[in-house]
Amino acid sequence: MADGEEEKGGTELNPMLLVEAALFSAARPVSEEELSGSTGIEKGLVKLYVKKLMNRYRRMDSSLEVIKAGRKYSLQLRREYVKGVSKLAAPEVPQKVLKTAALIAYHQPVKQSELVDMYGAKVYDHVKELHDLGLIRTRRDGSTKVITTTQRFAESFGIDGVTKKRIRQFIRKHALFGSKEGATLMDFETSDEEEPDPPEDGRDEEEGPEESPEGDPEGEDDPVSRDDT
Amino acid sequence: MSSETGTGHRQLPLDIEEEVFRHLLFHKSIIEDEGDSYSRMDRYISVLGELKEGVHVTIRDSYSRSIAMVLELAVEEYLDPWDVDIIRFCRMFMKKINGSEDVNLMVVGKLIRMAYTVHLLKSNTTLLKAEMGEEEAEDIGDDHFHHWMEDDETFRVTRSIIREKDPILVESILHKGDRPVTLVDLLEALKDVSLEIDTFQEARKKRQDASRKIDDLNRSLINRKVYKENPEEEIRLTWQRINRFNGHPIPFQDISSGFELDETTTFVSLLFLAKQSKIRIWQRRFPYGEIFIRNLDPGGELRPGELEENERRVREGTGRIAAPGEIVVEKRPIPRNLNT
Repeated sequence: MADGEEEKGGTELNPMLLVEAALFSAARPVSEEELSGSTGIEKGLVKLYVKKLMNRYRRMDSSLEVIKAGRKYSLQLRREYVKGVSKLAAPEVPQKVLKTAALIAYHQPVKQSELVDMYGAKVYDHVKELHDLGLIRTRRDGSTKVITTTQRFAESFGIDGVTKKRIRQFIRKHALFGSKEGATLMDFETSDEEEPDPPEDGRDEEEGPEESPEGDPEGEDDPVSRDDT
Repeated sequence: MSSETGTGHRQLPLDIEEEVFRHLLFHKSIIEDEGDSYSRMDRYISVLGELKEGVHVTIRDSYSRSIAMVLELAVEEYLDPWDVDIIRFCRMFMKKINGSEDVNLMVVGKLIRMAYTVHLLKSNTTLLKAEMGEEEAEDIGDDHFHHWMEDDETFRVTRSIIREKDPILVESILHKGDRPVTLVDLLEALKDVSLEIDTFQEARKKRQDASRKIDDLNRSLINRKVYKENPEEEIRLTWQRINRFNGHPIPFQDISSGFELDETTTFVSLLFLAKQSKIRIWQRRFPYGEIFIRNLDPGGELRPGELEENERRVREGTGRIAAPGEIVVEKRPIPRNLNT
């Protein structure tokens, strides 16, 4: 269905709202390719409509937002409203591992022994749990492990970008300036193009669960930057 | 860090709760870093005082309750399990039980369970250290500055992540893409099923046709292969074969083709020819000797109706086959052993 697609009855559907409908219907972050495939709208136009939706949700008084999560997009609840509905929406990631996850995200690539030093022996269990959830990957380095986040990590926590720099920036802002101020600061800085992470030496010994096939390999430059203008 | 074996036995004081606090004090005092031990002790005591819920609440006996409180602190991770001297507590509790007539087994059971949990926590720590390897174990517990402490901002961020009540990371909540089935869905499904049924029926019809064709083919092949009885034709063919030879006796094997069916039909035909006095048949040695045939009418033709006439005469018992068509069999005496 191209721009200006007509319904059977002859009513013309708004392509931007069609993209919104696709984002709403998908129970996960979706890539431009998936949006294009499901709506029939050309990929370039999908990108344009997503940006329009982002701005629209930002302007309107809503508990929802359209964000770039990793290399995908999602229509999700604003983080300040998440706590208020936590009893209705059971989290996939247990609350107890979130601090360990944040430490990994900020310090990555980080040795497991350093994490234990920061946060205690419970890190061992948390690392295993995060690995099982596909949020981190580990690589053996001597007697310890070096831990980094996966693309799914950014998607699960609604982080705009998959590079270590971008994720670190996200954690830093929210840790230093709180959720609201941090989010605002992130919004102002999102016009920066993501720089790819330099390739790491060695291969992951323990890979996390398979990432979505449509995702680009982690570390590559993301051609789409978030345009918040 | 305390050692269970390194603690000496002391007289049991009257105020057990105080003894518990003194126990904590004792173990804090043997930690090398005094500043740290005092602050930790203060924290333990304050937590102990504030503990308002848990197993200890249900225990009325102040002595058991105090022990339960300390064990609970360790189980709930307020207190380092290694700071709890389980052996010492056990000795204290044994003395208390020995001097008491009324023992609440429920309370004893709860305390044993908590002591076991603390012991398990201690073992887990030991196990973890053993699994970590020497290098990693050395890193942990070192009080020197780590790289994340050197940079002020990194340290602040790390501390904020750990100390903030609300986690920095918040898992995204997306709409779940489920929806109820609509009438349109049902109609679409019916359409799909209808198409599937058509396809299935068409395939079944094709299968039935193919099966029928195969059956017909097999039947025709069987008809071709099955022997069809035609005695007159067989007699004619056998007579033709016999006439190819001169008047000398012909071994039976030279007339038949050697196949089992052909041998049978040929032999039956020979019997008919013998009835018509066309040939004479004899066997050299009974019962396995060679069968010979002599042509009594070389080049002669088979007379139509002769066969039927012979059959009629045999059936009516009005005569027997006249010589020279009589069948002569050279009989040999049957061996005695075969008779028995």
